[in-house]
Amino acid sequence: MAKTLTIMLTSGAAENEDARIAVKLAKAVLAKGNKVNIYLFGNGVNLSKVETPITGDLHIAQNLVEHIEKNKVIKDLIELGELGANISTCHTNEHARGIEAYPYVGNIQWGDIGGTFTKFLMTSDVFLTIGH
Amino acid sequence: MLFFVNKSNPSLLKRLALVGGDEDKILLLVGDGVCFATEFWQEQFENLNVEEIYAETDAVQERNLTVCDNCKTVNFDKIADLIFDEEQVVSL
Repeated sequence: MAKTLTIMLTSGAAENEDARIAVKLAKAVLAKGNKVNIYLFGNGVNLSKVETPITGDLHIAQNLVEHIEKNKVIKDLIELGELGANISTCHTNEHARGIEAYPYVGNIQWGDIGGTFTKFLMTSDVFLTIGH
Repeated sequence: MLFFVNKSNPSLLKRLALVGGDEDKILLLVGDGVCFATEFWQEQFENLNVEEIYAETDAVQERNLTVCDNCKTVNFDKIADLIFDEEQVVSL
């Protein structure tokens, strides 16, 4: 029978490897036919938003751009959603960061602790917090 | 009891003892947590009933670490199995 993993990800992009660890683990769990919920909390909510592209000269060395782009996980979260992961945010954390009104990427949804997160917990076999 | 560790903070030892008590423990180390897979930490882990240690392969290689004899390096495919094998899983 399929088991369910819920990950609360509290780190955003570029702070550390937490987001990369979370998406790699989620992909591996889904590949085995299990279920994954990801609750984006704290700085993790920054990963939920459509990126606004910048045109023109970035004033960043190309090798640094490549390093930064390689570690962005937003496209991985979109892919996880397409593979069946349930991904929600804590809207209060979004509000605290002034990003609540911005559109979500992929299948990521608005969420809250009392509703979304509680439901994730109550239906999970394993819960991990990945953050610093 | 399996402990999922992504940090290198030495206070981990106190939290292992606090949360795990006398339980047999398994360490699953990812990211910066793989530093605990080196020989330096093993004596202290013996006193904490740490029975098995797993470290994520890429994280070990990227840090050019040598893991202790008791440690097995694993990929995320194996980690996806390990987290569901144990009755209790704690992230530190």
